[in-house]
Amino acid sequence: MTSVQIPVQTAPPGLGGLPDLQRERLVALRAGLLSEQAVAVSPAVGRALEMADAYLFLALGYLGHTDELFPGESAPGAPPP
Amino acid sequence: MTTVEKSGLWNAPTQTARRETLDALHLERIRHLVGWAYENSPLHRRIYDAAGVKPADIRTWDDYHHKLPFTDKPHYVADQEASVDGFGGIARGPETWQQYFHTTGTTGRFLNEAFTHYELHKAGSQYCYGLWDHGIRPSDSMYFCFDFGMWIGLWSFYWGARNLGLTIVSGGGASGVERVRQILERRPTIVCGTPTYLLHLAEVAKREGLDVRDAGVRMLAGGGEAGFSIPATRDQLKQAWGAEQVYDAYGVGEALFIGQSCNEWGGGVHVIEDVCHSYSVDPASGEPVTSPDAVGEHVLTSYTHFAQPFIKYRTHDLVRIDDAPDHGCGWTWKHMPGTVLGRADFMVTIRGVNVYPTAVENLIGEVAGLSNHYELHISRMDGMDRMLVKVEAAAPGADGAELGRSLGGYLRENLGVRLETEILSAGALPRYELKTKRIFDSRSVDERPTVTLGDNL
Repeated sequence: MTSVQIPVQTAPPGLGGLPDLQRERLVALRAGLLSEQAVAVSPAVGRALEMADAYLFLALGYLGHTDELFPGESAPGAPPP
Repeated sequence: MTTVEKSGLWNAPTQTARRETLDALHLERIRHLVGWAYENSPLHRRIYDAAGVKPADIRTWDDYHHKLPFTDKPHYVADQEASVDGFGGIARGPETWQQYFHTTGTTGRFLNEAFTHYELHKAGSQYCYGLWDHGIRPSDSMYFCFDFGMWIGLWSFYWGARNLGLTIVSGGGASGVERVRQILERRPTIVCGTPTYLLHLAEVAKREGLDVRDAGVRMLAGGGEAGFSIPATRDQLKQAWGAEQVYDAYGVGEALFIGQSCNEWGGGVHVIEDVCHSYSVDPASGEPVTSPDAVGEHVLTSYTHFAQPFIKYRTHDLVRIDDAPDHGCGWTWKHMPGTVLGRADFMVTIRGVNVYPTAVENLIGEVAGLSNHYELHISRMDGMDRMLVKVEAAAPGADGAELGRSLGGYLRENLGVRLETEILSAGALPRYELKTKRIFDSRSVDERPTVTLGDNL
């Protein structure tokens, strides 16, 4: 796996208030989704969860999420988003 | 109706965010993207290595503006031609792509474009901000009057319609008459096409004894040409279709329709800052343009593209950018009055006056008796730029000589220089379903404006 060089930033930007709270909840939701995707019992379930991740990631983008910019950024060798 | 549906803005948290907040998000995204591209796109690594820049060097806006090199279409075309799979600047392999397209080839060469599933949805999301602001909701419908080919432009509108949840009606594979009949039968909320083609469809309907105004279409939308931002063409479209709204969008082949109009119509489009960073530079020095009144070359970084990143990418479009717009819409996103004022490489200097093709296009629409079908022919003779404006008369049998005098006088009055004019009979110019070619520049590469961007290429 390749790594991405990201300059250190002490205070990541955020939108504040409710948007930041919703973003935090969605990040947690996404962690659960990716866990389920990793143990999907069939290609059908796995692919459906991949697509769900793409939609979920759109919501994260609307909320100013910058830890990753697209699904799979941290793991380019992973299945396609 | 849910709380979300009642909201007047598609995504208020970012659409109304303070400039400082937006700029902080942009810088963070750009730094990520530069790192991603350096590690995964051989083209970007070569460009950055040649400039002696590493991702960790890009920490501030000053770094972005002055250390990071510009990228341009020739970089991608050269990489495309040297690659095995025929794509340039690729950072993710074909196994991740869901669909590919190419640009229209307006500038002479097709550029192949690759999109993953997520990227197509992200590309579609940019339409939702403007459409939602115009009151379009998931219960509405959009008719597409074009064949679904390889050009990304109108395809991305389709992804926008999917993203917003509109009912999609395809006019693919149908003739003009069939499309008119389908529109009258289906009564879509929105009809999507190029301005020229939408006016053509209204003419087709008349010839068949039909009237597209009977379809109750509320909005005309699309792109590919300047027409949706030209006041006279907007009025003509509204009149021909009986539509309440004309929706303007500004697209760049490589980054899609990153500019969308708000409902207040401030005379241009807003940059969709959730999907890109946009600024303009002095074409000679490459320095950022900061005055909202100054014209510069538009440069952007796309947050839609990761399989094929476009970072600090030259669009060659001449724009004005107001980063604190205040025309009452509530958006804080940058605004481009007049949308695109011309192409840096199409700029014409006549007797010391810079003439932007879009300024000429706007003025043509204000002369009574002329149609919206025109061509601008740029040439160079004896070391001087020349522009010939060819326009169709609106009606058969019109007095071409008188119209020519009116047009020439009006252009001189407003531009300060005299351009050559030629009035053609109605119907003389070709009609296109997709992008209409209106500007023909026969100057050699050496005769066109030199754009150096301070040699930071």
